[in-house]
Amino acid sequence: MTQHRIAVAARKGGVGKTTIACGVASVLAKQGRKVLVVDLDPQSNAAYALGVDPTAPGTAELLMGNQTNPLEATPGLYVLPGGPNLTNQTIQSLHPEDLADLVKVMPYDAVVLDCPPGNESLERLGLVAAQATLVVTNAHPFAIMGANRVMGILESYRNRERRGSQQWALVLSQVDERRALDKELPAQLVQRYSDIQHFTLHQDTNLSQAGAQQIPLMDYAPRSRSAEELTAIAQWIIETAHD
Amino acid sequence: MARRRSAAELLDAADSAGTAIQAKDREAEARSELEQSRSSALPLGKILDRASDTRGLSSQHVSELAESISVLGLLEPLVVDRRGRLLAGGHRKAAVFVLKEANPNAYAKHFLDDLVPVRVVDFDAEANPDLALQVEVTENEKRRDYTSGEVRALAERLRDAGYAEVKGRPAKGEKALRPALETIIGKSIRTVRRYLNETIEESVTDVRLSEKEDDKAVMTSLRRLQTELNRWQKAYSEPATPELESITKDVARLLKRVDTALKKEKG
Repeated sequence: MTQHRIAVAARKGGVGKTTIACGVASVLAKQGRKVLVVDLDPQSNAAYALGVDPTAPGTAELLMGNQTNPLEATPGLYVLPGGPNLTNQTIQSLHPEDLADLVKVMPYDAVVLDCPPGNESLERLGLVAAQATLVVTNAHPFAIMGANRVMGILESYRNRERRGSQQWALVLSQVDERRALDKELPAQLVQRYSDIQHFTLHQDTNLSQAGAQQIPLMDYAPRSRSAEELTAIAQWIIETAHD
Repeated sequence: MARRRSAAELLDAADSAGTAIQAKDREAEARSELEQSRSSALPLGKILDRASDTRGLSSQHVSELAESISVLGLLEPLVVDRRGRLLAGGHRKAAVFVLKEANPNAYAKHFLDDLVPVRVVDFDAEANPDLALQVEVTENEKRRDYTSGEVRALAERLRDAGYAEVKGRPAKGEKALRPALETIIGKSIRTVRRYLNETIEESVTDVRLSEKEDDKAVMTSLRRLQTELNRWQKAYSEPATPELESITKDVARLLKRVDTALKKEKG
């Protein structure tokens, strides 16, 4: 069985990592795959967004070596919640490949690793566990700085022929073309980072509402613009993220 | 109003700032690795050379270090990776080898059973050469600062070993104190002179405003000590080993003295 593992990272907070991770997971699950979202964020938003208990045992317990049962949000869509336990010393000092070893033997067709903002060691666990990464930014220099740092780590790992994401795509999210930067930056980014795949995800009320209403996107608004854009990203994941 | 920058300029700025922070990311990583290193000792022959040498060794610096090590021992441990490959301390390691050749007696005295003090940083330098280089740079930048008291104690030991304060170039056979100290603590000769002439016996980073502040600082330290000792007593009320038991007794005694001192200071 091929397992597709994708990390979603940005370093910056609030650019849409969790929304994209849950959206893409919802698409993959609707296509009939058994999907697991691994939330690496101490804020534990992913489980909340998918409508299950964000305080249940999750990623931290898995990393501490305990038997952990992912929560089922909708048929085929499972979550390991994040939570404050992820900030404990033991987890912070884990080897970057520890999560990779744990998830690759789990019985899922696709694993989506939702990386936290800020915390480099947790983010690294996700990047190394995945075969490809979605680097998320919005059309603002603050977020581009963060995306640049993530891509720096990805490059240094690939150059050293280490395990982990071999490919990555830049996802420009929250795009609203009525704003000057949102209109001009996509082309600039494609030009600057010309050797990677680029995706655009437009600002869409359906997408943010899905999270707020705690319903996976493909159940909340399957015919929305976001659903269409995320389906394209999911297609890239299936083609790119495999051993 | 300032001219608004174009999207391309903004992207340039963000991109280069991101790259600059990446360098800091690596530095921070190396620093935290060094902080987590553990002290240990390895047989001299088991310490492997660096895979690629980043810079050549100055033979003069090596022989000066060897001389200081013969008197004082190795003050700054070598830094090695988990397989014993040298990360930082090329000169120091070479100096230990020189000493072993030139002065086996001094070598045997400072390195019992051939064991050399090291700090082990837990990663594999071969698998991660960037981090290895960064650790070397960081270690060389932040080797510990000596307080003036420590420098004077070192000077005392050097004097006992025949080093002398000489003006100008030392005569043949004469061993000059200050250049030797300069080599050992890695500070300029002016700093060394300042350390030796200073009268206050305290850390250079310890800033105090007045005598009154001094008293306050003592009180604070005493209180901290009291808290820590109380915590110890609670944690180890039933010591498991004879060592812990004797420490616990000492702690009780010390706690009594701290209590008395605090009462007196409040007095």
